[in-house]
Amino acid sequence: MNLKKTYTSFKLILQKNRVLRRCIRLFTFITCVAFLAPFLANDKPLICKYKGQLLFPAFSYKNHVFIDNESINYLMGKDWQTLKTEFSIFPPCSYSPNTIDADNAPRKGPFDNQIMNLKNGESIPLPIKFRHWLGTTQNGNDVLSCLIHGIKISLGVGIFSMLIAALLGITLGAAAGYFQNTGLKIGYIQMVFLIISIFFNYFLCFVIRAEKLSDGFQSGGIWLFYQIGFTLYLWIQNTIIFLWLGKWIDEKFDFNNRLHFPIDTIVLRIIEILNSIPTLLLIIALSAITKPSFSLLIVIIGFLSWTGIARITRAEYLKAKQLDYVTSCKAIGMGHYRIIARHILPNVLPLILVPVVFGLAGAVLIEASLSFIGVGVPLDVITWGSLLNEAREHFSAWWLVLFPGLCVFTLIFIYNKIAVEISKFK
Amino acid sequence: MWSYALKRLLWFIPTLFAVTIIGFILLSNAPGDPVNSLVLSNNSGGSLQTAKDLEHQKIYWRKQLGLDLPLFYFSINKLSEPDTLYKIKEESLLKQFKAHIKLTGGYKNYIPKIIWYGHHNQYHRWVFGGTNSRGIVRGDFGISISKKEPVIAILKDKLIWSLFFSIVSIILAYGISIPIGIKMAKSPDSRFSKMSQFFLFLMYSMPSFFVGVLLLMLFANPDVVSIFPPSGIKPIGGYDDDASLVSKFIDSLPYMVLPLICYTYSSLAFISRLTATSISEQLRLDYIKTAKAKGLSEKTILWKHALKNSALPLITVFSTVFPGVVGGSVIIESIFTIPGMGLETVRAIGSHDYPIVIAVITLSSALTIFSYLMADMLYAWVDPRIRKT
Repeated sequence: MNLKKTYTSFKLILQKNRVLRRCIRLFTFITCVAFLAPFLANDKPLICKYKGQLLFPAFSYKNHVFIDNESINYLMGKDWQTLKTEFSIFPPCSYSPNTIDADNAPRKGPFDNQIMNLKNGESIPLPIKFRHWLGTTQNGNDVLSCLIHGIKISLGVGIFSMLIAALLGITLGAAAGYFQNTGLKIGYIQMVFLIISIFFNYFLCFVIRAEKLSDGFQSGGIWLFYQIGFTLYLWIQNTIIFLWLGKWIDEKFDFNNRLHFPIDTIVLRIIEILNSIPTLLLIIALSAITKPSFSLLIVIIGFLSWTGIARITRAEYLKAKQLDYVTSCKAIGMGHYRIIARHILPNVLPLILVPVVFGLAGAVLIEASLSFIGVGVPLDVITWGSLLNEAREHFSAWWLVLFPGLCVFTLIFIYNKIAVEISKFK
Repeated sequence: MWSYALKRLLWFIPTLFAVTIIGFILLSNAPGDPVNSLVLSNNSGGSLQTAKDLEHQKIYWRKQLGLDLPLFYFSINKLSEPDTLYKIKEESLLKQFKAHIKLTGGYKNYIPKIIWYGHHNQYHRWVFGGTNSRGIVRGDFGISISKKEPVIAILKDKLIWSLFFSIVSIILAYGISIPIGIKMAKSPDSRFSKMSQFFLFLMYSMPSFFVGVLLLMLFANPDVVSIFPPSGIKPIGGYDDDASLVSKFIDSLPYMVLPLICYTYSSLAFISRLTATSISEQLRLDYIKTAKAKGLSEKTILWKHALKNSALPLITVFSTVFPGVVGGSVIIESIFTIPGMGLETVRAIGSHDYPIVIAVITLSSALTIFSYLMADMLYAWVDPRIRKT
């Protein structure tokens, strides 16, 4: 891919459009907050001095540390606030998402009286630096902290699933648009080998490796990505080997008749099938079958939402194929791959980005909706959607509706705005 | 026209087939043995049974539910595995057996073998019917595990509510957004068009669950304003026995307002924007100038001539909006506790009732496919050029 060309075309768009610049700046800010979350919202102080020794608990991965033969538990949660230190600097929000503040337990609002029970039984108003600025949940988790740490999940699910979707969508869409039904030619023996390879690959990937694959689905995380990626890799590699073998036989025995491989029809059919399956319902059903995890969510959203990207890519490649520069590329004998990846792609990339960014918004919406109804996502992680879910039974807790809802809205709004602004540039 | 319709219809058969395959893969991978829960709950009646009786019952139920059949028309297995491995249903036993085969199989573990079973298989029985099943083509989705009723009997009422809300909301969305779109196209730089564009875009970015909870909090909350009932679809006591359809509708009306707002608002932006762009494209064309020169009123030109010619993209939108309404209803139904398919799915997941879940997925996919088909037909009806290709 021609990176320099792509970069200059993006720079041009950014220079011309003020709204887009602002949106991207806001998005960068949100991303920075997500990366700095442990230092913005943490129940451990950033710096504290205890018995003459300087500690940096928020930057440490240790579980405990010994000072004067006294063990200090780094995971003591809320007790950090009452620890008698010589001085301490807390993060702006001095709670982790899983810190439970039992004193302000059943839903204290931002303007309610928040209290702190001392060890001697006294109860004092909560000091300003420990205040719950956006209130607490049913169990006493700090809402602001949950929101800050929730960015990570919303951003991550969107970006990783769209990486998968963009990879699939651009590849298939470009192949469908560029070759159409008549561009790809395949020998008879090659075709036979292709069909055999489907059965063989099924055997290899889903019979021999069945246990490992189901293990990946059950454990989730990186292991799931590895298993699915490896399965795909095996499939593609074997298909290429089989195709190569078929080609070799074709050439050896001089079979000159060649078939058109209808890649356009195949891709369009797959798009139609995938579009007709309701994504949300499929994720819900899959979550009932396997253990729900965010990596599974990413994979499913990625594998279901490439259709929009593929459609636009196909249309753009169809248009680009007619243009003079592609004809001249062909005239000087350039290979198909080079034309597709290095000459057409940089020219159409801004337009392909539109469905990708809309897809980001869609993925965020799906994740938030699922955690809102509490199906298909791990329930021990507090996300924006699950905060909103708590408000459903208690309408008096307006802070549980307003703040998480606004967060989801803002992220989706930024994505949509970026997509609309890019699409204006043609 | 008819040959075109037939061609489209034939193309939809492979799509439907693929959707049933996906549904069946999900169904056959569901954890747990459905027979186990059936036999155990039958057993809770109190009669003491020996282990052997239980085993007999299980075998009986397996035969009744067709679970003793192979999964598909053919299977690709390892050469070292016996042909009838599918008959072992006890999961721990199967695991042991497979581990044994893996140890003793040697090179045969890596050689594929295709076994042909013919049409006596679970998939065929599930789709086309067989012993004790009429197949999903005739509307038989099996028996619900938790309720012990035919799935289709449970889903029938639910489907009506879901479809009612989706169709009414689509009609509402078109009814509201086409006039807005036309007004926006008429004067693209006016204040109205800029404001409506801005607000519609804001609404488009609002997640439906946020709007739903917000609406409930504002309008169904005794602390703020309590005009609308918070949940359900009909009065708690049910309708009167001798109530007519109209009075039932009037009784249910307050329950429908908030959900319908929720269903409708997000597609407004999309449809009105599309109407505006396609009509403003039409307005640049020559035939509009002719119409103006003829002395037709602006109203006639916009609503009759321009709208008719820009109907094509609006139909396309129908096929993109409809699946969203069917699938997205899970969220709205569970917020407002509407007894539709979405809420039933969430309930079924909770009680591990897989036949219902799969039935919902298959049904809504099939509905979506038919909506595509309908859109295609409408397309061909509006634009005769398409039939020729």
